[in-house]
Amino acid sequence: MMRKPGEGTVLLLLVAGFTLWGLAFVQLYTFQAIGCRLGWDGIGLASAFTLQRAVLVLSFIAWLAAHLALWHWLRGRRSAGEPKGDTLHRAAADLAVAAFGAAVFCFFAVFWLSPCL
Amino acid sequence: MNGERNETALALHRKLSEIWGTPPGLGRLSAVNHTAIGLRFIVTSGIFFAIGGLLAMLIRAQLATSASPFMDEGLYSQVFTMHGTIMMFLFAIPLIEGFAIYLLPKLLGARDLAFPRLTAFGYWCYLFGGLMLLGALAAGVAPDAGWFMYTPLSSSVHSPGINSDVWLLGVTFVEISAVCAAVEITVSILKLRAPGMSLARMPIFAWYMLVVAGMMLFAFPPLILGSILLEVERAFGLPFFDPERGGDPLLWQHLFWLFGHPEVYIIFLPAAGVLSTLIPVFAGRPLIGYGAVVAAIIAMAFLSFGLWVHHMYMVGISHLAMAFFSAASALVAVPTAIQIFSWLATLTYGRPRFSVPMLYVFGFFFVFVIGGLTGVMLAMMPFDKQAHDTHFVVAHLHYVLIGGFVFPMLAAAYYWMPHMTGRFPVQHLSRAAFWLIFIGFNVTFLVMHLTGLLGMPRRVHTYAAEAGWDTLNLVSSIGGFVMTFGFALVLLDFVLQYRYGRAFPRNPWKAATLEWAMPLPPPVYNFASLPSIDRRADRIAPRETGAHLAAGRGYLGFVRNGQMETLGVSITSGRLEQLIVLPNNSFLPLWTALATASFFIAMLAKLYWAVPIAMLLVLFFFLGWTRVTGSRADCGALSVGEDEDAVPHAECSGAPSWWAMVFTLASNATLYASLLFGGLFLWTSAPGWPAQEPPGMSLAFSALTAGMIAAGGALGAAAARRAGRAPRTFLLASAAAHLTATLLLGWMALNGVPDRTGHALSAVCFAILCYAGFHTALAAVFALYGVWRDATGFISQRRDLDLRIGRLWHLYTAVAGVLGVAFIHLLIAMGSAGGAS
Amino acid sequence: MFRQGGTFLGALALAGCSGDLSALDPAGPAARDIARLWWAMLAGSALLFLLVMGLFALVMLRPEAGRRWSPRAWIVGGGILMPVPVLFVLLLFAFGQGERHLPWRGEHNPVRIEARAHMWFWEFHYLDYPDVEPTVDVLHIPANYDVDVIATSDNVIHGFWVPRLGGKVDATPGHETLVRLYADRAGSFGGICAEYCGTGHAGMTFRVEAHTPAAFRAALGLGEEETE
Ligand code: HEM
Ligand SMILES: [Cu+2]
Ligand SMILES: [Cu+2]
Repeated sequence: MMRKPGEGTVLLLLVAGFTLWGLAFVQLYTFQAIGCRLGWDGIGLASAFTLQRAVLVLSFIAWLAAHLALWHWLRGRRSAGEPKGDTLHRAAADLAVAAFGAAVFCFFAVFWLSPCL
Repeated sequence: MNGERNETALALHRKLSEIWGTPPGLGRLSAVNHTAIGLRFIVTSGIFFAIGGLLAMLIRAQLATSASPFMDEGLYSQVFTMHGTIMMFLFAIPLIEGFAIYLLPKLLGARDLAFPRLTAFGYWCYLFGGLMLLGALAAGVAPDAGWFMYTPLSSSVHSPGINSDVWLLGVTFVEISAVCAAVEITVSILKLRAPGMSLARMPIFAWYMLVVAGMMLFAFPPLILGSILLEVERAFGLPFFDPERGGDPLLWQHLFWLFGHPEVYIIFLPAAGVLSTLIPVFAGRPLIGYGAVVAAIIAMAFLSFGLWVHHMYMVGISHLAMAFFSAASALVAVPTAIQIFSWLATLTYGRPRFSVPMLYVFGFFFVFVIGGLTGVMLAMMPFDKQAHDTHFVVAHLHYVLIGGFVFPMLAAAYYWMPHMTGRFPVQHLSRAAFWLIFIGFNVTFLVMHLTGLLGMPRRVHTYAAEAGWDTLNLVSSIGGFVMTFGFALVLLDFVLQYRYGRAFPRNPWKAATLEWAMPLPPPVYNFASLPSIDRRADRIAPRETGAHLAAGRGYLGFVRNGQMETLGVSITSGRLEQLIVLPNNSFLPLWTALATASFFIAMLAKLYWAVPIAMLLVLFFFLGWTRVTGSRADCGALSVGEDEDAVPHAECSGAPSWWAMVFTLASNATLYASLLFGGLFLWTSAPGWPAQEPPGMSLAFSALTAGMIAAGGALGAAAARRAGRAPRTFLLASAAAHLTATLLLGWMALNGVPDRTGHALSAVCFAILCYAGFHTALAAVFALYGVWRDATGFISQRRDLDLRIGRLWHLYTAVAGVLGVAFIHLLIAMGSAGGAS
Repeated sequence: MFRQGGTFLGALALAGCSGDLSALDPAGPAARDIARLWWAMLAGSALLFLLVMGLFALVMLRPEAGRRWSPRAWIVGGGILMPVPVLFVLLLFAFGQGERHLPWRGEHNPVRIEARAHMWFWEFHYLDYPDVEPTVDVLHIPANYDVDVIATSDNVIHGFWVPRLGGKVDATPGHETLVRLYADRAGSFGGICAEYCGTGHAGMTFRVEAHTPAAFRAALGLGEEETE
């Protein structure tokens, strides 16, 4: 598709991973706030499992999948055409993995902590 | 042979100096050269550091014992607020700007930054804004609500004087300079490099500054927005933060810390960039883990935007939400550790030698690691609930700022001082000064952790003797004076070096970066000819390269029509792309900054009738800047030496000014997004919602307005495609649509939201309408400017830059305007008594 | 170096950790948990600090010794493998503690008291006893019993903080924020405003008096508890 990479493509690849992480952050934080505002925390689905937690947990899992997909795409991209030893493309793929790790690290608490207290 | 070469070198030097030089006397005020302005930034920020330091000494004198407070509480609050404000806004940020402005073109192999006049304008804004704050301090009406200006304390009810206005306006003025610098640095790093220097070959400092400048583009807008809203609330009563009228003081805290935390990394990263530059030099080998460091700083930049709430653990946010921020705060230690271990690896695989800059590197390791560790402690919510707002935090933040910023910058000063002065230091004082600072610092602040844990809050002007804090405070104060003595010695050391240092040949540290490939102190034009780079730019042989370039054997080793020329490359690959012709010295930046100052002074003096006049004046001067840009004839590719040709930037699709507009709009979009999120935030959090008297907006009228905005944008954007084929009809139609849209938006703002001083919902809608109206009005200016440029012959099919820059503005205005109108309807539906609640 | 360490230890010995406002002299479970967390983090930090400074000394003085590890081992080992597990465990611990300190409803309802911040004094309303007059700058609580303090303000932002009993919380106009206090025993504890609130900030102190149940009722001017 991209035979002649655009002028600053590699910069976009470098920030892709953590941009995804940032979007996840914004979405989870916003939905947490909106959920508490709309009382999702009071709507139980199964014992202590509330609508609020369901929304957050599902979003979290979806974001993790998105991170993995991005990483996969970046790796494929690298082996397809780019020179193997290219520092920046390698850094971009590393950053995608790091962003995945950061997402796990930052958001795993959706399974556990109290969302509206 | 050799003699002949020296002769051509000398002749070239004369010719270039004449073109690039700064006139003497008052003419200096017209200087736009990056070396001159960079030094001005550095020296000015040094003076502010001294003032901030004096204020710190007043604080320490006051707190030394519980018995003898010599300042009353009112004065003390001005002193600590100004200490923090000066150190953060007038010392730290401008100092890094100064270093970046001075160094970047020299490291990247360019003759100047992309927008020399903007550099000068930024300096004047910084100076005038700083003087405003200092003037208030001298007059005894300095800001006094703490450096983060929490409202309602800073509101007109609780701070009726001009103290808070001085902060909001003065700091915003200084911020303009920071945003200008950010745009300029980003574009210069991306475009103005020596041919062959791909991104992956850039010296590591350039990567740091690229990331920092990027962060500045996104971090400053929330604070600028917050300051505007708070000033508007104070001046005109629109209740964004007033909880009695649907506003929320927490909105200010979010906006402030959304800026405030990244700010800490904006300060730290350049210092880390200095370390990544110096440590390899003193290890005698290139940096190990270049790629890892680049990845680490990018990760750090992002993470640092995801932890602002760690300053707000006390405000009643839910545990889960705080946990996101707590985890991100802990995680940011990881990229820091990656850098620290890259430096250790570089040292271990090199042959480290000790010298004065390395002494400060040692100081950095010692102090910053402690600051980082206490930072992780504070990130833990339970612990912060005890330590927050105590002297523990004061100790922590000084460990981070002095360890992570002041020590590296002193290393940088000792390292580059020979570059700036052309003289080498007289060593004796330097070491004594270091040890005084180092010991004094730790004595002051190590014990302060304990003072805080024993319960001493920050920002108290006195305390009870029974509290048992006397001894610790006395120790801190003594340490503080020892440290000050050390700083005085450093100053003396610099003066001595400047006056009596011995002259020395090039490259005293045996560095391998380009800034040493020039005679010292550096000539105004940096390089008599520009290098081509075939390896990572921290592996260059400055001596050979320098001689080669001085003889005019690189690119552009000649002068053409008295023009100031440098080269532009494509972003990633560093391939030669364009010939950039820079504007010469000019008083316009000074005049424009003075006009900007008149705006701020009119606001401060509450002369609101003068505000629009001042704004028009600013616009007028800015339009004046364009008189020397562009050309009236197509000229095609020109020779740039080394058997290569390049087109002038006015004929190049990726001209620096086009990129500058892209980054300016990105920054602008952040401000806008903060505003929209602010509206949503109030809906979720503020008391007093839903609003009782929501704005009643007719859907049809709004649709008409949105359509008009879209039409203006589309027409203006289409005009760029018709450059050289009579774009004027499109431009005129676009201007007409934008002007109509401005009127419609103005009408909506004045009549559609009658309750704008009564409830935050209306106030937010009003702000959005004003924002959109401001953009459509400027879009009309862009369109008319295009007409004028076309009429005066500056536009052709090849020279369509002006129109393409305008196109970006038109498109942005269309999207932002339509989005804004839609958002207003959404917010009214959600936030009015009739809507969902 | 030596001297400075000496001064620090000396000051430490002089000041000790006790004090009316000392977070290191806990008198309730929340404050005690946090003090423990602090000592644990201090110990861990001291180790990490010594490790990094030791490595710095090593690479400066005997660089060849550090070449035992590959550059990659330095960066990945020191930059990722060392900090991530430490941070993760610390975070789990802190989250657990934070969750424990939340003002949950237990079997018995906590005593609820509203702390209204003024410029510059505190007014305490006993929500469970509507007839009791609010007290100023003295907060009566029962010892050995959960107390929820609801902090609020109608002027500027203040901070409610009783260091020996637990963490602080902001009193923000337009908001009500909750903090749970629990005193192990009857006694008198210092409190102080923790958020800068203007010129009276330093003087905005108060006292918390924790009483036995009978003394608590007496302090509020209530009669004997009627037994049913
Ligand atoms: C020169 C040695 C310095 C000393 C002795 C010193 C001392 C202090 C003290 C005692 C306070 C607490 C005031 C209070 O809470 O009542 C303080 C606050 C502060 N300091 Fe420094 N400081 C120094 C340098 C710096 C530097 C270099 C920076 C930043 C680059 C800095 C930034 C701040 C900030 C942001 C505050 C908070 C102000 C506020 O609470 O509004 N300081 N300083
Ligand atoms: Cu922070
Ligand atoms: Cu207070």
